[in-house]
Amino acid sequence: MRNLSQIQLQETSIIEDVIEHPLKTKLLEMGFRKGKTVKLIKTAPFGDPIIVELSGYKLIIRKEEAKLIKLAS
Amino acid sequence: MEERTIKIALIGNPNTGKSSLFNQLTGLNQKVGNYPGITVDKKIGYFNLSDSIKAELIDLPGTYSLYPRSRDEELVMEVLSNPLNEHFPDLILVIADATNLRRNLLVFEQIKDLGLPTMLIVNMIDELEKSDVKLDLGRLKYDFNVAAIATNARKGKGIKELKGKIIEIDQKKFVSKEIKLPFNYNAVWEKQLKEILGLENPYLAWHWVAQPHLRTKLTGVAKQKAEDLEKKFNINIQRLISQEIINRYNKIDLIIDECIEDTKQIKSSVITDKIDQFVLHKTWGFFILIGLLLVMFQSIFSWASGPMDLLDNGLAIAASWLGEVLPDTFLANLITQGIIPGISGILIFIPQIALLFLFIALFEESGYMARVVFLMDKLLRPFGLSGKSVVPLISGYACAIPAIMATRSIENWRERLSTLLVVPFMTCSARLPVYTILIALIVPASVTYFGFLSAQALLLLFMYVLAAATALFASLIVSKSLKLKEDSFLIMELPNYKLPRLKNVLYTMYEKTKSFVFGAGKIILSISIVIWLLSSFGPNDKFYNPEKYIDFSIAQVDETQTKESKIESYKLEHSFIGYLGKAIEPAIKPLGYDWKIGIALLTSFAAREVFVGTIATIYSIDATDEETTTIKQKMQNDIDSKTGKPRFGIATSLSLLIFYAFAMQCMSTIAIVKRETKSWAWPIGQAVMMTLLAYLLSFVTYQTFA
Repeated sequence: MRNLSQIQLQETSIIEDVIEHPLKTKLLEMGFRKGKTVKLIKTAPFGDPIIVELSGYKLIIRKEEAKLIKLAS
Repeated sequence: MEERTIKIALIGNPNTGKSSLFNQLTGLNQKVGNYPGITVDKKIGYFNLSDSIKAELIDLPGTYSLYPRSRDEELVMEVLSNPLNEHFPDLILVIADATNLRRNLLVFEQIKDLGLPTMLIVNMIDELEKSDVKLDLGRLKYDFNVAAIATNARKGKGIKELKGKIIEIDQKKFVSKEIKLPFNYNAVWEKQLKEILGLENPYLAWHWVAQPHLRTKLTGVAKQKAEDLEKKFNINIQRLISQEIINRYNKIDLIIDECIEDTKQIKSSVITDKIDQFVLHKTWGFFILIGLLLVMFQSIFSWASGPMDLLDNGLAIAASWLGEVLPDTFLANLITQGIIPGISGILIFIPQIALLFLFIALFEESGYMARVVFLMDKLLRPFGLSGKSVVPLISGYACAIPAIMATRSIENWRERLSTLLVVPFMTCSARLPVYTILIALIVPASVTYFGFLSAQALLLLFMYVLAAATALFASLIVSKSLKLKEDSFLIMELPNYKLPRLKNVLYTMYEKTKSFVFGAGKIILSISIVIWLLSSFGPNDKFYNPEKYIDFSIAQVDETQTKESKIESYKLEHSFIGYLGKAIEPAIKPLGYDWKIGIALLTSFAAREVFVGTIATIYSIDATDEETTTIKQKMQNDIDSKTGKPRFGIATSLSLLIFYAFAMQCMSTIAIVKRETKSWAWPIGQAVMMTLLAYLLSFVTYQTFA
């Protein structure tokens, strides 16, 4: 199963789940919820962090944290 | 009629226009205070609701949820959970971004369950209208069962209605509805939890056990009982919090689907996307960043110098005028030579602070700061720094004082601490006069490479590069050795670009300047008075009657030495600080320094550039002739009587150059670090470590080249 750090540029995908982790609640609070669409907007010049679009707003997130977000296949 | 004050708390997500609203409501009638024991600033403002009702508004740190991730965010529940807290509100205003209602309403829903009178402010309503999306505010109010109002805080729209609404809520008798916990739970557990904590509200009781920082404040008995209860009912706090957030979002989704016509229509701003094509571009992005940082640096470096000289000269004139008018008493000298230079040493920083915060406020207000983080995060993270550290670090090349104040914008405490501890390594402008003289002593101006590259310029460039390398390396060590539990993560909003509001920018500049003058000012003044006392008094008659001891019959060495300058030099040598300089000579001898340099090291603890003035005095250079070249010649001609070699040989000069690169040597930096960390341990530890490092490296330098 893929996670958010593996998504392609401009690709849209659906969030499946956030895995158990101390940051899970933070990710949920920021809107990474099951069933929501995410899109990779941009990758930083050195490959990390990334900008994703989620429910009409954009978030900067490190790949480290993006790994916690599982995508639907 | 009796006057009374309503206490109001303002809370909301970051980037919702919270500070705009705060400024609109309170104007300049605000003050910044401290919360006991922590480093977060407390912003409180006042305004009138009617002739008899005043409001005290506290601006709580921006947060996405009541479950904190940083020390700043912990503060929110510290104020809201405890009726004995001096700011415990009578009313909570929750501000929400109209274009992002779902995520903004999460914290609103949590706050509503605390059972206090709560009002919702739907801000940036114009943005929503611009994208042709209709919000049914009446329905929203009904479904959430709350008083709500739409505003545009940047333009001041809806502020009057807001005040009216506050009075209205205040006059109604508030009855808290029954509150249910936002997840599946066992009723017996809930009942017992409420009993243990003596709280009626189960959600409030839940926060007292779910949040570690609140939990530690419970009594030992209550803590034990809560623990037993959790074991008995198999409570997994993290899982319940996740469940709460999902449940709340589900409720919010249902309501918002009804209140907003068509959510798909809220598109990201086209202008923002166009600008970001350049600003976030992998090459142009860095060019733009470097360009903006250069403009910022140049302005604090050179635009500030005009007003700084004006302040400096103005106060010097005032001091000399007072010196002539006042009788020659201790008090008069204290004022003219101790206090006025001290005050001048405080005011001199104002232009730089104001200018730097002009840029920082513009970066923050426009939304550019988030882009800086995006571009720099990967580069700075290995050193334990944040993407936001780049602004303070570059500012450090002009002056450490505003740069350290600028670390405020770094939310993560560990990254902020690393940044502010290493900023003083950057080559600030006060080092330049010292470097200029020392570099001139080390390499002659005539040496060039390839016919145009001057060796002096190359050495100066090397010092700048060395500073940045040291700062990064030191930060790596600091962040590795600091055992701080705050974990580093980056999940932040990328806001749309906004035109900065002049009012907000000016407030920031005003507030930062004020907090420096009153926060760090008294420490700078005290140290400056101590240094004056030490150099204005001596332990014996040689200080008070120098004419009796100086042999003026010796022919003057050159025309720069007048009788007065000889007396000044003699007095400095026999003052307390002069004797101190001699006393430390054995300690600094291995670095290649004698007592004269020792005195200069001591006096320049006030500020590095004082080194030049002190050296001038010691070498009896007339005060009117404090030209760099004269001082340089004096130093060059000084022969060590024991060795017969020049005292400022290459080894000694290099050693001094290294010392001034690494040592703290700035009382104002100590004062501002104390102010920013709210503790003496950090600035003192920092000064000691920097001085030790400087000592060690100067020692190695001298021994290598001697």
